[in-house]
Amino acid sequence: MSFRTKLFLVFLITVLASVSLVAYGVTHYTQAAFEEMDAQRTDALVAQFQKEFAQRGDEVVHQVENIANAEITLRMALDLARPNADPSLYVHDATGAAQDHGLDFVEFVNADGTLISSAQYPARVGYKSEWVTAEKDWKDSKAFLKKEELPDGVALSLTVVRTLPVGDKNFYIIGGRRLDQNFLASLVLPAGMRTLLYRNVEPGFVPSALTDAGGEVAQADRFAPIIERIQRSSEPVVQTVNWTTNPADAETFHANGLTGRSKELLGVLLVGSSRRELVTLTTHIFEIAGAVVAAALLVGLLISLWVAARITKPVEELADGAREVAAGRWDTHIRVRGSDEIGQLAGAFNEMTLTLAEQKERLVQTERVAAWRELARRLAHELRNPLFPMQITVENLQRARQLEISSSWKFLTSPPPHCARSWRI
Amino acid sequence: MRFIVLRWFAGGRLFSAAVATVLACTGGFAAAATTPRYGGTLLVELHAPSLVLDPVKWKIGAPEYAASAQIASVVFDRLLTLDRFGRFQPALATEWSHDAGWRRWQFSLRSGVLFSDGSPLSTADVAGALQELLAEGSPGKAVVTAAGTHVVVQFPSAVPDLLEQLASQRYFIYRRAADGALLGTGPFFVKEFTPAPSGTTIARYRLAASEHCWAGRPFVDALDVNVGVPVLRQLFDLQLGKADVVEVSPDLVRRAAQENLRVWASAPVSLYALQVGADTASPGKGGAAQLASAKVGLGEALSLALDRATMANVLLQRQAEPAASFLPQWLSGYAFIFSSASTMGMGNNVARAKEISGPLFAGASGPAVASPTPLRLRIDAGGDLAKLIAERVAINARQAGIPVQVQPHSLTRDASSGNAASGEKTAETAGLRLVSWRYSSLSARAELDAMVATLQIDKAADEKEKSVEDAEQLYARERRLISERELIPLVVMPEYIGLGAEVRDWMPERWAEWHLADVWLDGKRTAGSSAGAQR
Repeated sequence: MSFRTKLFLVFLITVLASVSLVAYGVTHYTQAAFEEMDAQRTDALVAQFQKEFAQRGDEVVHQVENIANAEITLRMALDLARPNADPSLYVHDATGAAQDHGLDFVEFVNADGTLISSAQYPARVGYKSEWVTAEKDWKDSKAFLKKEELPDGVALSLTVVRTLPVGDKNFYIIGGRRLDQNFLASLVLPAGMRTLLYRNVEPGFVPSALTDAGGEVAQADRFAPIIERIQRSSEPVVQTVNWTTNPADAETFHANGLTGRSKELLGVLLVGSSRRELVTLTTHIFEIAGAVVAAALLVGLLISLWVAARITKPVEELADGAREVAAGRWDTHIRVRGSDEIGQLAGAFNEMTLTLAEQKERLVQTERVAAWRELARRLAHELRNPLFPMQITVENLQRARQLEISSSWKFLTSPPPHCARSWRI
Repeated sequence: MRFIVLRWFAGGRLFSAAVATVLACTGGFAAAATTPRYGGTLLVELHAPSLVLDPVKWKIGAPEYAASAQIASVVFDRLLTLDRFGRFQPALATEWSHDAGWRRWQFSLRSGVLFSDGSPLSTADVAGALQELLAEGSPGKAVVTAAGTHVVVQFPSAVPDLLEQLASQRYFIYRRAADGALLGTGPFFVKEFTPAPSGTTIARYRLAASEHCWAGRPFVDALDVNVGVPVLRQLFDLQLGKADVVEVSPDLVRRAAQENLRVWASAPVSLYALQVGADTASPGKGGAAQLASAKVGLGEALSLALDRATMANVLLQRQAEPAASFLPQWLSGYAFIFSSASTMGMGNNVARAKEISGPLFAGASGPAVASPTPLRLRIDAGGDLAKLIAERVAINARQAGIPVQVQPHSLTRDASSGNAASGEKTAETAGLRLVSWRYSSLSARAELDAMVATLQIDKAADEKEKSVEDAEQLYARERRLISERELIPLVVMPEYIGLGAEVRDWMPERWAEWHLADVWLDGKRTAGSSAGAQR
């Protein structure tokens, strides 16, 4: 892999990593912000519920006190306090009082706890309501949650009890408003949120006891784990329910227990928040991040190419120069780009090749001298080789003359001059 | 052969007309308030959604046909009637007799009787109508023949109470036209029917006075009968003068009294009873003997758990009476014997009821009855009253450890229709059932037989046990039926009728048979109408 490719990849990976890191960070912090916002909305809704609850309670208190202060109620209480009073005269009075005062539940209870009239369950008249007489003072008591038995089941009621003293006895007026889907429908909810109410009337989870503002809840069985956890611990529960495989369809539910006077769990309020907005937002962020990554990839690719080319070109020129030097072209010269390390390297290379060229010239000269010397040496050698036999011959001749003919061989007494010169060579 | 021969040449209405004519001729204006006047339209409002004027289609004991019977009584006549002193009075028949064995009955018809279309009544018409009505009636398979001016009815067995039956129930005389329409000889005939407009439930029947009624022309010119009117609206209409005769629900009687409205009450004519069906016993838990025993035990526990006195005196505001028997005192004459609670175990004893029901609902230790799931209590009749009684029964039962859940009337009706269609389940096999029974016969034996047959109880009894020839046997049979507790009587209730201020001579029978032909209207509404009409 070339240096340029490596450099290109390093750049590219760096760009990708940076963009991905930023996208992840944005997504993460957005999700966290959304979750926090969702929690705040849920808290606000629970607070709104509690406020509505308290407000409804005050309304019920007001209405029950109105019933208690009505003349017809006082007359009834006085009449029933008499011996041998006929309670059948007042069997339907609770129904009228409930209609007149806009309450769902109204009951009149005699001093001994006998139910005189019931708007919600007329058939119960004559039976004892001992929980009413067990409390000594209902004055100024606030509305409380109560399980209300009805002919067709059990309902949750926001109940208020007031007493009407008749002599030394009390006549009890019990009024209440149903806590049901209509109550849920009265809550103003932000988009994507809904509230559900579970009536905890039986042990375990009963799907039909769960209702939302629209009535029955689809796939109510999916809430069983949430309700069962609350039934076990009474602590608030937060749980996400995936309705389908699409995560956008999921909902996060914050479940809070609703308790009665004895802190018994009577109901569960579930505030559901759709995950769709978050999932849509996250998807949107991912799409943007994808587009940014793609753009960054393209731009990074081009920039990486340009940068890598810009960085590697002097190096490549150096490499080419080195290869030329290696090929013997010692006078190779490369262009110096800038004064950075690569530029200094190029300058040093040029200096090196210059030095190499000079040293080469000097070496050639030296070799040339040496060659001439060798030539001279060889020439001298070549000259000596034929002169030596000649000298031997001349000397032999001289000795011969001296011995046999002194005059005739006069010219031979000394060697010819050119022979002496050759010898000296 | 023993003959009963009674002659009666003037009915009550004829007598009233004569008195009215005499008073009118005397011109005593000071007595105008008590002098019958002709003319005007009597406005009647009924809760029943529609009228079925064909007696053959009526179901005996069904409260929904009571209103139809009241209106039918002004369209059709009977052979004879029973007056308030218990004497038979001739109507379409002027004479009657029977053989020593009470099997062959002979009736002589009144002459000159015309149907509302002007055609004369013949013995063939009477025979045809009776043959239709007696075909499935309690007297058995009767053969009705016309012989000259007589009609002869032959039964395979003795029917000593035929006159009581013919003077009540659905035994009206009519002529069935080719298109199925019925013609009557009564003082009114149906002139017009206006169906309920869309969006409302109130349909209107207009009945015009028959000018050639054998008993004389009725006082009012017409009856406007509105059906499908809610009971509360009927009361409002009565208050506002928009109605003259309305049905008053027992829970509205006190209110009507407080409003100073005229309310007439009959003798108790409706029975509410609890039927203990066969499937209250689980078939997988024991043999037939155990199941029967468990069913009796459940019936006994329920009977002891029910607080009839509170039900009648508090819940129903004394507008009903606790019932200890199936037949009311005015019909049987011996019902007071059953009122002694200790004799039949009908008193409210929750502790004892718990003792009995405990093993039944204890599961493995118990013999056979019921699963832990609540027993379903179906309601036969619609309306708030039946629902209220059923809810009270459920509460009483729960107090005794018997889980009971009330099934709304609409569901009951759906289930009933479904069952009827499939034919799989009968009334007997329907768990608990709140039965509403309207007494319609003046024969105690016939009423009890009809009740037993319609409600499909006492199936195990043999023919000897079922046969009743005198009052003692009837008492013994009813006592046995009560002790078996397949049907537990709860309360009996009268019929309450609200009357407008202008209604005069409202003189119905105490068993709630109205005589609308005798009624006349006082006040301005009759002015300008056919006041000059003569009978």
